[in-house]
Order: sequence, then C-alpha cells, then structure tokens
Amino acid sequence: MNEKTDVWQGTMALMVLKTLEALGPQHGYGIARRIEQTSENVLALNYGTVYPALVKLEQEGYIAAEWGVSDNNRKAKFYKLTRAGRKQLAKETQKWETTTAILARFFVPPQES
Amino acid sequence: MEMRQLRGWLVRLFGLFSRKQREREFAEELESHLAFHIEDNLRAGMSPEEARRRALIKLGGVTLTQELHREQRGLPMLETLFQDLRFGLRMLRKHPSSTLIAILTLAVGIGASSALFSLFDALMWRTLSAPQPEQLVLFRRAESSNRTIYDVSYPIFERLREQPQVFTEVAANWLIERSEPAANPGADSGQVRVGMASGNYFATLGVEAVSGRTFTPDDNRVPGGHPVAVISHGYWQSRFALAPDIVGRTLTLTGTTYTIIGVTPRGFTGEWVGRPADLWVPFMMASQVMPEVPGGSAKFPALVIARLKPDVSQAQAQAASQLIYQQSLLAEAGSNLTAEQRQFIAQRRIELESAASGYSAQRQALTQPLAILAGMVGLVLLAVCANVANLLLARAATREREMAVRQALGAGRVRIARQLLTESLLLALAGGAAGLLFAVWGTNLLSAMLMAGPLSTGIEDNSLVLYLRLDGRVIACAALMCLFICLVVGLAPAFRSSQVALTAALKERSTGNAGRGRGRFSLGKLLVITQVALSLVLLVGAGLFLRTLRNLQSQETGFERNQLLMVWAAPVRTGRTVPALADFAQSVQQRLATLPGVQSVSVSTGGLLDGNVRGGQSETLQMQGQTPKPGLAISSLGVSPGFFATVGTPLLAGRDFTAQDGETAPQVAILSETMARFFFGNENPIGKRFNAMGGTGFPLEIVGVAKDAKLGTPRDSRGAWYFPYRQNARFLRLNWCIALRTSGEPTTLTASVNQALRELDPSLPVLRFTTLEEQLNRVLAQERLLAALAGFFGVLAALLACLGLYGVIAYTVARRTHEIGLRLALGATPMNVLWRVLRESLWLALGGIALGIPAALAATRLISARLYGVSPNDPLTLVAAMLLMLGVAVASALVPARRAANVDPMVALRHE
Repeated sequence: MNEKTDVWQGTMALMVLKTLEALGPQHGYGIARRIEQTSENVLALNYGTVYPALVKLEQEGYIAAEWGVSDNNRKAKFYKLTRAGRKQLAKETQKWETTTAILARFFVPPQES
Repeated sequence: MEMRQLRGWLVRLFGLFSRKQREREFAEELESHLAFHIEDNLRAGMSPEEARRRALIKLGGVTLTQELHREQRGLPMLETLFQDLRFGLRMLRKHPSSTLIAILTLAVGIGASSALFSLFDALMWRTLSAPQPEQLVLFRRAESSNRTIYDVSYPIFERLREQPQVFTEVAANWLIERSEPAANPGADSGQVRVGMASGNYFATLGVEAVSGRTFTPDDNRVPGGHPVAVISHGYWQSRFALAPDIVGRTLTLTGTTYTIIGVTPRGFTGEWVGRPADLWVPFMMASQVMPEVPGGSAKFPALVIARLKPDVSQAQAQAASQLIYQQSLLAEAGSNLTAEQRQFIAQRRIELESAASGYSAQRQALTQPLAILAGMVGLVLLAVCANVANLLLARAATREREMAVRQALGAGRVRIARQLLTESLLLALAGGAAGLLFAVWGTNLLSAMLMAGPLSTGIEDNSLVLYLRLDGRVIACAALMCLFICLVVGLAPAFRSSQVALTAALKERSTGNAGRGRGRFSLGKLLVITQVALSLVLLVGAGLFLRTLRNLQSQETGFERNQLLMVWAAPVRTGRTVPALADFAQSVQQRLATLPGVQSVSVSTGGLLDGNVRGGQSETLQMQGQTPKPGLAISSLGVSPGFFATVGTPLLAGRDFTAQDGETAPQVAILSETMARFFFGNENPIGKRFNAMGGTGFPLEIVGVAKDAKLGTPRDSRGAWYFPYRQNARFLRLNWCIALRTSGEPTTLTASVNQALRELDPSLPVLRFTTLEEQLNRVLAQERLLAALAGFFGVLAALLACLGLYGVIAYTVARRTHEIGLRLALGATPMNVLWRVLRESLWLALGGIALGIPAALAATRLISARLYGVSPNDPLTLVAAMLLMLGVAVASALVPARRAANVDPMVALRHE
C-alpha cells in the first residue's frame, strides 16, 4: 500500500497559505518543496499541482504575485499573503482545528465506566 | 466568502481576454521553477540529464501542468463555446446557399407558428387586465334545448347581486355598437362600442380610473337619470387626442349627451375579447342607448360577471346561484303554475365559467378553423425540421473526413456532437430572428383577415377586433421552438458523425467509393420520404379547401348577381322607434327609386348573404291541420314590396307582396321552395295558413312560393319565409339591406345613393356598400383564409421536398461518378443513366406517397365539416396531389440526372 497520500484541493489551499505565512514571499517551487518537507515526505506531491491552487488563491485575492529576483539571482514569480489572505488563513485554521477536534473525539478509544 | 468566489469568477471571465499574455507568463514561471529544481538536484549530486529528468517527473509534466493552470485560470466551457461558435459561423459562411435556404425555411416555420401563437394568445389565453383575474366568473344560462346563453337578464342580475355569501361583487355589463352622429354625421366612422355597466362594474373587475373616477352604485339608481360616461384609454387617445381636460367634457350618443367622468387604464378594454369597449355608461341609461329595445330595463340583456370570494369554489358558487335563479324564475312566473311550466322551470340551469381570459362570442365558432390552422402549421414545422435536418446531414456527410481527423487527434464524441449542435443552434437562432420578422407580417395578415368578417344583421356586430401583438411570450415561444428544432435537427447528424468508422473514413481519399453510398444516406432518404408525405397531406388539404371555396363561390345564390348594389345601414341608431322605422323604410325606397340608373329598390331586414346562420326550428312553426314537424332550420325575413323582382329571386307560384299588405291588412307570407316542400310535399301551399309568432289561431296566409336563395351564406340550406316588413315592423330594428337593381355598373351609383340617404337623414349610419360578389367574399372570409393558407403551406412544403430530393439525388450522383463512368464506358447509354437517377428520385417520392396517402385520408376526415360539395376522400384531389409530388420528384432529379448522363467516362475513371 502506498504510504504517500494525494493532496486534495481544499487542504492544498490552506497549506499554501500557511506556508506563505511561515516563509514570507515565496515562489512556486519553494512553496511546493516546503509543503513536501513539512509533511516529512508523506505527501506525494506533484509540484505542478501547486500552480492551479496559487491561481485560484490569487483570483480570490488572498495572495498577490510579483516578479522578483531570488537569492541566487534567478528571476521568479513571488507570492505573498494579502491582508484578506491573513484573515482567511485565521478563519480556515480555526475551522480546521474545530473539525479535527471533533473528529478526534470519535477516534478516542472508548473508556470503561 | 461568496464575495471572494464571485471575484474569482470575474477575474476568470476577464482572463478570457488576455489569454496569450498569461500563457507566456506562465511558461516563464514554469521555466524558472524547473531551473530552481534542477539546480537543487545538481547540488544533490545528480548528472545534468538526471537532474532535469527528475525535475520534470516531480512537476508532473509541463503540458499537464499548463493544462491544469489554463483550466483554473480561464473558463474552459466558455472558451470552447466561443471556439465552437466561431467555427460554426465559418462553416455556415462556407456554404452560403444552403445556409440561406435553411434560415429562410426556419423563418417561415417559426414565423407561422409565432403568428398562430399570438392569435391563440389574443383569442383564447390572454387574461383580462384586471387584478386576480382567476377569481372572476361569468354566468351562463343552459336551457333545456342544450343552448348556452350568456345573456342573463338584468332582473336576474339584481337578484344574484343580493347574495353576498359567495361573491364579493356581482356586476352586469352589455356591449353594443353605436354611432356618434354628432361627431361624424352620416358616415359610420363615428362608430363606438358602448358598455352599459352596473354601478359596481369597475369595482368588480378591480379597475381604477387613471383620470377622474369610475362608476359607483350611486351612478346607477334612476332609469335615464345618469348621463355620465367612463371612456377607455384607447378612446381617449383616438377621439380626444389624450386631452388633459378630458374629465367634464361631453359626448353625444343616440340623442343623449353624456359627461365624461373618468378614463380607464391603458390596456383595459372590458371583458369582451375581440370587442374592445370605447366607453361605458350606467346600465340605467340602457333605454337611451338602445331605444329599439322596448319595455324598460326588465328586457335588457346583460352579461353578468362576478368575483368569487377567495375561499369559495366555483362549484359552491354555482350551487348557490342555481338556487337563486330557480327562486327568481318561480317568482317571475307567478303563483298559478301548471305542472308543465314547473317542469320547464326546473330544467333551467345557471352555470359559472371562468372569466379569467374574458368572454368571446366567437371563441367557439373560431375553435375549429384555428385547430385546422394549428394542424397545418404543425405539419409545416415538421417539414421545415426535416428539410433543415437534411441540409445539415448532407453537410455532415461531406465532412466525414474532417470529423475522422478530429477524432484521430483526440476529440471526444461528445465534443464533436457539441460542435455540430452549436452549428444547428446558430442556424436556429438566425432562423428564429428572421422568423420573428415573418411573424410580424403574418400576424398583421391574420388580424386583417379576421376583421373582415361578414356583417351581421343582428344587434351584435360579428367582426372581431383582436390586438395581436408580438409580446414576450410570443418571442419566448419562438425561442423555445428554435431550441427544439436545434435539438431535433442537430442531434441526428451529431449522432451519426460521432460514430464515424475512423480508418475507413481516413483511408477513403475521395467520394469515388460507390458501394458505401447506399447505406450511408438512409437517414437522409427517410427524411426526404417524410417530407414528401407531409407535403402530400398539406397539398391534399389545400386542394380540398380550394375546391370547397370554388364550390361555394359558384354556388347558385338564388339572386341575380350582376347589376345589384347593396347598401347596409343601421337606421335603428337614428333613434327612430318602430312605426317611424317603417315610414322611413318607405321614404328610402321611394327616394332611391328616383335616382337615375336605378331600376328598382327594395328594403329587407338583411338576408342577402348576410352571414347570419341562425334559424328557428321547424317544429316551432304551426301549420294549420298539421302536427309540428321537426327537422329543418328556418329563417324569416321582412321585405318590402318589390323585393323579389329587385334581387332577382323568381317567384315560382302565387304573388309578390304589394303596398296593400300593410299593418292592418290580413297577414301574408311567401315561403321558400325548400320550406314549402318540407311542409306540403307536392301539395299546393298557396292559401294554406300557419302560425309563427305564438298566440292563438293561424294568422298567416301563404300567398306565394319563391325560389331558394342563400340568405346567410352559400352553405345555407335553411328554409325561409318572407313577410311584408310593415306587418312585423319590430324586425326593422335589425340592420337593413337596401338593394338596388341598376341599369349599369352598380358601383358607379354609390356616391349619388350616399348623397340621397344623407339628404333623407344625415344621422343614418351607412355601414357599407357592396355588390353580391363582394358580399360573397366577405361571407367566405374564413374559407378564403383557410384555402389561401393551406395553398401557401402546401406549395411551401412541396418546394422544401423538392430541395430535399435534389440534395439527396445530387449527393448520390456525386458519390457514384466513378461507377457511372464505368457503366458508360461499358456501353450504357446516357439515357440509361438518366433513367437510373430519375428512377431513384421517383422511388423516394413513391415511398413518400405511400406514407402520405393514409395520413392524408386520416387528416381530411378531421376537416370534413369545413368542406362543401367535395368528399374528404375526393379521388381527383388525391390523384392531383400525387401527380404533383411525382412531378416534383422528376423536376428535382432532372439537374443531377443530366449531370450524370453527361459524365465523361475517361474523366470519371481517372478521377480517383
């Protein structure tokens, strides 16, 4: 059985936002790489799938993009969180925590009374 | 959240416009992405090739990533649609002639249907412009003889009004045509439709005045005491040019001056469909408006309309009304009733029907011709669909290779079907737009033809004024039809193209393969056969209607057609009462007889092809010494002395009426031949006596027998009896027909006759001058309409079938050029080849005929009631239609057949 799981759309957006919050402005490759590293290589991420998520977030105004130059002098498109993006991230984070907290209760082994 | 999503969609929508630039930008971004990754991989110690390979694999492929990105960035559905539309337009432009034909045929089909829809809408479906029209109900009386009468008398109305348990309001109204002599002396252009309304009429309908006020119950208390009027918006516009000071102005009607107190909103014309009211006066003014009706308000007709209480059902209201009706009938009849009378009253019922879409006396009469019209239009629409489907199919057939290439390059079946459906949608839209133009024209034509109805002699006018209009619903109907056609027509070729055998179509480099030609086009052949069958049905119908019209037109009328001028007038509107009317008739007759060019003059209460088909039943006439005899409809006509000589109806026995047959003289009658034979067989009826008016005894003596004449329409088979108008002068309240036998061309006399009538009485409304021929055309308006439309649609369908046949045959010939060349090279003569092609077309036509004949026989049974002098299975018409279709088959195949016969074998064989 394949240990590495596919990433599904909704969480991808949240991961991208969280990554940008942690790293500050970052390019697509950096984001993809960071997501994979953070998941400690559990996620089998095709780097290409980051881009539709980035486009969607940009369309919705949560992130903004700008061409710039990297540390090693390479031209790249950098994405950064907008104010709306930060708000959305806070909201989504809370929602996620609530959801997982609820689900967690279901997976607690039944206690003997 | 939703806002953000909306923003996303908007950005995507605008993204459609800067596609190229964004594409380039993303390519750059991917490039830099790969560069970062390769760099990292190199740092990890991979070889340059390995580094690049790994980076690409990790990305998931450049093309796939670009595709994903593109889908998220733009609106792929919309982009494909634009692509399809652009391509579709290009394809349509590439074949301008077939595109034009398709659009034109669609326009005719959609236009005809939309025009018909607007007619149905105006006559049957459109609801009254009043709030909550579904609560409105109409009363109708059902008598024992199965007749339905909407005229409920005013006293009954007053009793119904006193029962508020089931109705919120009950109102009465009666509409009548009057002229306004003060505005327009003599001529009929001053004709207005006057509603005589109860005080709560407008409150019942829920209509409020836009200017001034409407009636209140206080406007309708004292007979003759309320000279006030409410006018319609249309009348305000046409007669008063929307004068702002309209309230308080006056108008004169049959001698009484009314003060205008209000104007109704635009669009409200009362509850009579086809007879828009111009103004309303209180019902208490009825004696002033209708001086010809004697006996005060008790005798006035009234249409009673009520508004149901919200929680009361129509059935409950009807039960309650029936009770009241019975009570008032019993109260009216008095106390000493025989058992027979009681039983008669018990049989009388009052019923309710929805008045949501108003009341029309003609609705029932027009239902049948409209249904026939709808049937014809439906057939035409089918023929149009078949034709357009055939055109598209032929086009799809020439594009097989293109479709195969597209499939080979990875286009899905659904994608190809969508492309073809888009093309047919484009066609349908263009056809629909052109169809609306056609519908405007067709609608005007239909309303003009409807208005040219015959002139009735009755109190009511029979002509129909409908506001046919192309409103949103008609356009929606046309749009729906477009969509329907697009689906029906587009699916067939789409379905077929999507299952092209790939390799076969690709390998086939030209159209030279003859063997495949047959099966391939079977759907097209089926469509053509259907077209031929549909045309045959329409042509048979057209033939039958044409023969009916011809039979009716050449029908012996019983009148001497030439040199007869008829003047239709409504002298009752001058305000004269019965004895004065008789004297007036005499002075008209005397005055006109002195005009040069006039040989003789007669006055009758209508009767010369007046379009009236009502008649009493023969059992109501009591012949002396006979038991009542049912089985013949009988009309009666008051005439002046000299009538028979003037109109040219020969007397077969006895004498004509003379000036001596006056009010006080013994009552006399002249019978039509049919009526005389019905009652007396071969016996001589002269000197026999009968009773026609009720009362006791047998006061009428038969003094003559006249040849049958068509008093109503050419279909008229009623019996008739004539009386001297002075002996029953109340009939002079009907419209008159003044007939003049002239020595020259009758129409040259109209000016001098009009002048003479004005000198006699400038307030006499002259309705129209006609000759017998014109009167015939008026009476046959419906027949002419049906014949003309059936003929038009039949020819149209035949033309479409011709095009379809041509398309199929030309395609077959093109496909078989190679085979034909071979045949010619092997010794076939050009005549052989010509015949082979013609034969194919004839087979298709015969197939269509075999399908069409049973369909036509079934269809003609439905129209048999409209036919005259011709059987619905008339062999002559059937054979003529068949021959016509065979002729069409030959004509449409002739060009491709000649092309086939002229094939040069060498060229054809070299041709791949």
